Amino acid sequence: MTGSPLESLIALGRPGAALQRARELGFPHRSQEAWRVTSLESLSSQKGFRLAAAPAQLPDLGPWSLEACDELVLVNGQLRPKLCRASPELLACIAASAAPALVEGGFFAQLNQAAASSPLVLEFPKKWNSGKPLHLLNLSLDAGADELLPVALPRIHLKLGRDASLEVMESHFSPAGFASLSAPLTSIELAEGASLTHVRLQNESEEAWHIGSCRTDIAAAASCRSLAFSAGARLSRLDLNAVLLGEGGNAELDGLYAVHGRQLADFHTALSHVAAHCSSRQLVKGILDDRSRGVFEGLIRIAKGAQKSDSSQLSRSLLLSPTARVDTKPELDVLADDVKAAHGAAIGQLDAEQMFYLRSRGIPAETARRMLIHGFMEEVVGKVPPAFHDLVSAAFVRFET
Amino acid sequence: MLNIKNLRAAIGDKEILKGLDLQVGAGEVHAIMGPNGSGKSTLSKVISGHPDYQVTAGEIRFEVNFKSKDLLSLQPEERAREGIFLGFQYPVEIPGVSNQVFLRAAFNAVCKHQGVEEMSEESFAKFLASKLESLKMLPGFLERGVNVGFSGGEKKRNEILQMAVLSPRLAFLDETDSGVDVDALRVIGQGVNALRTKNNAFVLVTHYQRLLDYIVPDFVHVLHQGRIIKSGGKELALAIEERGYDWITA
Repeated sequence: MTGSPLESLIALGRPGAALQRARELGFPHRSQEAWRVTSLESLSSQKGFRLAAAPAQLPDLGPWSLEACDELVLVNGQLRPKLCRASPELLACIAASAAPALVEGGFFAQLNQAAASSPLVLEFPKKWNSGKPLHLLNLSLDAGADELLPVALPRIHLKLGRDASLEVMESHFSPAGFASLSAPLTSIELAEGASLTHVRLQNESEEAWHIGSCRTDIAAAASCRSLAFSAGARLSRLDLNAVLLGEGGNAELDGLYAVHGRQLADFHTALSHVAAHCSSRQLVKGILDDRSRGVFEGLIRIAKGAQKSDSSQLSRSLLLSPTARVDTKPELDVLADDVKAAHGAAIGQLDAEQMFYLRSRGIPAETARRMLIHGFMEEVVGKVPPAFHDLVSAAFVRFET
Repeated sequence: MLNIKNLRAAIGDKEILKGLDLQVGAGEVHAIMGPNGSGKSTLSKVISGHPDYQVTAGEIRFEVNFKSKDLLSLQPEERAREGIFLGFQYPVEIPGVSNQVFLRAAFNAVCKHQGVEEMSEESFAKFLASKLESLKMLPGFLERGVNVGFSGGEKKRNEILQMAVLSPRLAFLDETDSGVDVDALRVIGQGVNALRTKNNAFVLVTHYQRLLDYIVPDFVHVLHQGRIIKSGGKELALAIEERGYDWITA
C-alpha cells in the first residue's frame, strides 16, 4: 500500500505490535465477516489522512458541556487540562500509567493503539463513590480544509477498584459541517463488586465518520450498565465487547441509534459469559428515516463452564420510510448446557392501532407520530441517569419535532 | 345530536353494517346489544373513523351547537375534537408515552379546537387529581406508560378517565364492561353517571345486561346482521338477559 491514501492512514501509527496487527488485519472490507454489510469505501476513497490538529481558537463548549458533572475534555484525542472542570479527588484518579494493550479488536482499534501518544487513564480506587457523575467530552475540532482527512484517535482507559461505583458519559461531538474521522478506543476494567453506568453518546457532524470500539472486562459480582447512543456522523460504527469474567457479574448493553438522510449506523456487540452465574441483558433499538441504513449484529457467547448464565437480547427497528433499510443479525453461541438464553428481533413501522388510539383522542396525526417515536426511544433514553439525560435527548430531538 | 341513516360499512370485502339507522338525542343514554358478530364493534369504529373500515353507503350527521356536520368527512382527530369519544373494547398499550403526557396532549388538542383556553401544567395536574380520585385510581397511574401493564379493569377505568378529562358530547363505550370485575364495573358506572348532563349522550355497546344495572339506558337496541332489528326501553335488556336473542332474531 506504499504511497497509497490508506498508507497515509497506517502511517499515523508508530511501529510496534499494534501497528503490525493493523497491517495484518488490513483496512476493513466487505469480504471480512465483521464488515460484510457496511462498506467503508467512502473512507478508503479519501485522498489521504493526517492527524487532526486543534484550531488556535476553540469554540464555545457550552452546547456540549454538563455543569453538574466533573468534566474532562479531550480535543482530537488529547486531554486539555485548561478546559477540564473537576474535583481534586477526580483529578487524582488520572494515572500516568499506560493503557493496557488490547490484542483483540479490529483495524481501527489497533491503529488507535499504535498512534495514541497520550491515552487518558483513570483509576478509581476501591469503594470510590464520589456521587458526582463524570463527563468525558471528546471533540473533533479540525475542519479539514485541505485535501487530507483529519483523524482523531482518542484512547481512554477506565479502571474501577473493588466495590467502586461510577456514572460516566463518554460523548463524541464535532461541529456541524466538519468532515473528519474519529476512531476512539475505550477499555474498561471493573474489579470485584464494582458498578459502572457507562453512557456513550455519538453525535458527530453529519459529514464525519465515527468508528469506535469499547471493551469492558467485568469481574465477579461487578455490574456494567452500558447505554450507547448514536445520532450523528455520515457513517458510524461501534464495536462493543463485554466479557463477564467472574461469578455473579452482570452486564446490560443497551443501544439506540436514529438515522436519516443517507446516514449509516452500524452497531456490533459481543457479549461473552466466561464465568458461571452471570446475567446479561440487551435491548438495541434503531430508528431509520429517508434512505438511511442501520446494522445491528449482536453475538452472545456462553462458554462451556458458564453454567446458570441468564441472558436475553432484543433488537427492535422502526422504519419511518420505505427506502430505509436495516440488517439485524442476533447470534447465540452457547456451549454450556444449563443456561437461559433468549433473543429476538423485530422490524416494523409505526403501529397503526397506536396511531388511531392517539388520534381518536383528538391528537393531530403529526403529534401522534412524534409521541410514538418518542415512546419508542424512551425505553432506552429513559434509562440514562438524570445528569446526562438532556444531552442525550438533545441528540435525538430531530425525530421528535 | 347523532343521526345515522342507512349506514353500510365493510372491512376489506366483507360488509358488516347493512343499512343501519340510529338517532341519539342530547341527554339520552342508549344501549346497543347484540350477539357476537352482529356489528357492534364495527359501528363504534366507524363512528370514530378507524381507517380499516370503509363506509360504502349512508350517512352520519352530528349536530354541534345547532350546526349539522357530516361526520364521515372528518378525520378521527377532528371527530374527537368535535366531541366524539370512543371507549375502546381493547385499549391500546403505548410504551414510553406516559398517561399524563397523553392526557394533556389530548386535552389541549380538544381545548384548542373548541376555543377553550388550555390549562397550565399545574391546574391540569389538579384537574387530573380530582378525576383520578373520583375513579378510585392512584396518582402513580399517571407516570406509567399508556395502558402498559394495566389489568383489564385498569385499562377500562383509564378509558373512563380519558372520557372524564375530555368531557365529550357523545361517548360510544364499546364493551367497557368486558374483562372487568364487579367493583370496577361499579366505579365505571358511577364515572359515567357523574358525567351525564342534558347536553351530552352515551351509547353503551354491550353483550350483557349487567352494565345496565349501573347505567340505566333510556333506549335499548338490538343489532343483528348489521342492522338494528328491535328497539325498546330498558325492559328490552332484561328480556334479553332472560330469554337470549333467539326470540328476536328468529
